[in-house]
Order: sequence, then structure tokens, then C-alpha cells
Amino acid sequence: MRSWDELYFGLLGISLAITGAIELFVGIAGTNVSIAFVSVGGTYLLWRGVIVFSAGTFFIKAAVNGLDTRRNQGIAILAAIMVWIVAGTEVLARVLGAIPGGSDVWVASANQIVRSIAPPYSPSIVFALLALVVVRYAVDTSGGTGGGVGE
Amino acid sequence: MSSKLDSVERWNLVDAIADEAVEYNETRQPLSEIIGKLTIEPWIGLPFAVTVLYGAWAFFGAVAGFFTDGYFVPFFDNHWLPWLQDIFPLEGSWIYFILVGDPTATNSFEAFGVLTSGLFVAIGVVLPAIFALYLVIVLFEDSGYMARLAVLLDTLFQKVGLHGYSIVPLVLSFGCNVPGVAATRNLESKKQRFMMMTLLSVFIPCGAQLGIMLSLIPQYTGYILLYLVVGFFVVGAVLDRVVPGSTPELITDVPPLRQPHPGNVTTKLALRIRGFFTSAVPFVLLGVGLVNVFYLGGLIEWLANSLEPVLTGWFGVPKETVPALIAGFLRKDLAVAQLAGLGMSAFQTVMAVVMISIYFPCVATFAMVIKEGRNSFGITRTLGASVAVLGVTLFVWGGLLRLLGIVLGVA
Repeated sequence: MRSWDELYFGLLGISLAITGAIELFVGIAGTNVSIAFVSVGGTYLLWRGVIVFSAGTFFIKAAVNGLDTRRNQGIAILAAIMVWIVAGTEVLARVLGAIPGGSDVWVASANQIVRSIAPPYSPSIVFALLALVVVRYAVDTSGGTGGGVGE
Repeated sequence: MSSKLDSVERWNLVDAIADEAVEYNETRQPLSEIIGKLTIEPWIGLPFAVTVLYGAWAFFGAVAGFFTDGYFVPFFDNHWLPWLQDIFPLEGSWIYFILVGDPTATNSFEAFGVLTSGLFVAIGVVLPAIFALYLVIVLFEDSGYMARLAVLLDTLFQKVGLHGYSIVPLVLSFGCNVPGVAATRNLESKKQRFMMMTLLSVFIPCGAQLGIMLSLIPQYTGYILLYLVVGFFVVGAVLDRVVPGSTPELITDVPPLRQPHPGNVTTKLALRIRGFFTSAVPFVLLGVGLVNVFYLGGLIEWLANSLEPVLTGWFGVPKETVPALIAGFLRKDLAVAQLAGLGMSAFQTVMAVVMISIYFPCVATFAMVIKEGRNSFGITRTLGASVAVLGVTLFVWGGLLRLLGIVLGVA
């Protein structure tokens, strides 16, 4: 019987792998695809596709092998970090790109800066939020020590 | 009394005391240790390394773009250049041409003066790039990830006579070749330093060039990059057999993963940026000054006229690419931009961009090769050998691309 964790991260992994594959195909085709508030396109899409696909397979691997072992929890955390790197750099680029207001203004208004993080979003930003659940493994296991404790 | 106890009784007593005094818990491996081990397992570590390198490059693009495009370009073009053109005396003289450049220029790149284009390239373009990349490299070092990256990629680099730590100058060069060439001093042997700085100068396009390639010819950028990276390893393998010297194996201690210490990061970053100001900036300014002297002396024009038959005959690109190739000596990204308006065929565009990438390093990189040459085979020998490798590579690797185009029927 699989735990809810394994089911959740298994589904997340499958979704990521499929999205990564779509990004790869769209990247090769050189087009953009938009569905609702999610957009697949832009520069380095092939690289992002490879990374998102790899993160998906990591989540699947961790879920299939059982998330009760700390090694598999570590794999899930690495997969989440991969998604966060892709999403984080995209948000950073958006915000930093919006701050300069040109030679006359120098710093854009707060409104313009906030508007830069409005939709559409890349899939990795959406998945980055869903991957936050792995933080519980970091919290659960980070207090461990390397050996016995004497008194 | 203890003296009357036999050995079995003594050990029983020891066990009893230990049972009372010692508390045992289940051993728990720290998470950082588990993740640290996973990052050097090839099947998990390599995709993760690709992600980290992508993140480093994306961070560089965002931060360097923020400073360069957001602030330095408007500052130099709209304030510094007009002010300097207004106040600098002796317009029309050779000293004006060398220091300020073209009096009618409307942007700092076109001016070509030491105080205009030179300062713009050194401060406005290269400084933000090295700030962003050095920050990433320092974070890698301080977190313990750099050693893992080196171990992971060592096998690949050993094939061309380099070792895992070659990833540092390689990553830096994809942002800017100047810190990349400077970072070759961390390699162990003279041979490795020479090979790396030559291969970087020839094959690795900087971030600015990649950016302009992606905006002008996005459909071909991936293929061009692939051709250049393959060239890096093919020519590297040839150089490994030709260049004398040792190629030491990588022996490194892999430290535990840990949170970077802000004090360490800021100190290292400050030291490296100070080093850039004291060593690299004067070379960049000197390089721009030399180019201007060559212009005044007619050397650049002579080169353009002399090379025209070779460019059109061997590489199949029109003679109009000559000004772009010359401009590429100052900034390769704007040289690529100049190609966009020439109305060339798709293959000619790819060919010309590859040529701009491999024909010669930009002036800032060239200046750094001169400076770092003393850490390799000496300035004269390193520079001479680098230029020789560069010339042969341009003709062979560039010619091979044209041959591929002819075979595929697109040239």
C-alpha cells in the first residue's frame, strides 16, 4: 500500500515529466504554447525541458522506491531544488528586467515592477509551488546526528 | 574490592556502568550528507549539475542584463559620451581619436575611444558580468558544490587533457571570456592553462554574444553552440596530443555541503573584483587604445582588404562581413548584430557567426591572454601558440562547416 506522499510525488513527477517532454518538443519546433495562465516558450526552452523532465523522473524514482527511506527523500528534495532553480531564475529575470525605468526614470514605479510578475507563468513556476511539500522531509530529518549521544 | 574480581566480572561491571551512563539513539545521517552523496552519483548528479549550471547562467543573464542594459548603457550613451564629446578639447586630433573616438558617435560602442568604448566595455559590460559570475562561483566554492562538480565532470575533461576544475573557467567564459581566462590560473600545469585559455578564446561565445544570437537568429543558435562545443573537445583532444607538458589527475577532498558563510562570500568577491580593477581594466583600456592606433596607422584597413579574397573564397561569406569581423575584436555581440543587416542567406549567417566566434578573441580577452600567458609558457610563446592554434582552427573548423554546408546543399 503506497502512502499519500508517494502518490502525491508520483503524480507530481508524472506531470513534470510530461511537461518537460512538451517543453522539449515545443523548443525543437521553435514555437510558443499558451494554455490559460501557463505559457511554454521563451529562450533556453530545450534546457528547461531537459531539467523539468529530469526532475519529474527523480520524483517518480523516489516515489516508486518508497519515500520512507532518507535516500529517496533526498532524491525528492534534489528534484524540488531543480524545479526551484528554473522557476527562481525566471522570476528573478522578470523582476530585474522591470526595475530599470530607462535613462530618465532610472527606477520604475512599484506598480510596473509588480506587474512584471503577473501571468502568464511558465510551468516550472506552478510546479515550484507544488514541490514545496518536500520541505517537510528537510524539517523531519535535518535534526539527525552522525552517531550515538552519551550522557 | 575490585582487585578480587576476575576478568569476566570486570567486563560485566564495565557493561553495567555503560548501561547506566550511556544513552544510545538511532544513528541519523544528516540530510546534507545524503544530498552531498547524491550529487556525485552520475545518474542523479549530472542532471542536477546541468540544472545548477543553467541556474548560474540564467542568474548571470538576469543580473548582468540588469546592470548593463538597465543602467550602464543609458548612462554611457546618454550622459557620459555626450559630456565627454562636449568638454574634450582638440577635436579632430589624433589624441581625441584615441581617447574619445568618433565625435559624431551616438553610442559608446560606436565611439571606439579609450574613455568611451574602453570604459564602457570594461565597466559597463565586463564588470557586471564578472560580479554576477564570481558571486555564483564563490557560492559554489563556499557551499562545497564546486568540488562535487569537478569530480563529476572529471572523466569528461580528462579525455582532452584537462581535469574537472576546468568547469570553472568554462562556466565563467559562457558569461564573459575575461574572467574565464583569468580563472585558468587555478589549473595545475602550464599545458592545461595554455590549452584552456586557447580553447576558451576560440570556441566559447560570451553571454552578450549568445544573447544577441538568440535575439537575431534564435533558430540557429543551438546548432552554432553545438558546433562550437564539439569543436572545443575535438581541438582539445588534438592539443592534448600536440602540446608538451603534464596533465595531472584530479585529486581533491570533497568537503561536506554547507550553507555559504556571508563573510567568506563578500570577502572573496571583494578580493576578486579588486583584482579585476587592478589587473584587467588597464589591459582592456590599453587594448582599445592599440586598436585605435592600428586604425590610425591603416593596419585595420590593410587587413580588411588583404583578407577579403580569403573570406569570400574559403568561407563563402560576402566581403561586407569584414567590418563586422573587425568590430568583433572590440565586441562580438555587436559584431553579430552588424551581420543582421547584410541580407545574407541562412547558411552564410551561420557561417559568419561561427567565424566571429572563432576568428579572434575580443580585445578584453586578448588582453587577458597576454596577461595570463606568463602563468603558462610565457607571454610570447603562449600568445604566439594561441594565435597559431586560432588561425589553424579558423581555417579547418570554419572550412569544415562550409564543406558540411556544401554536402548538405545549403552553402
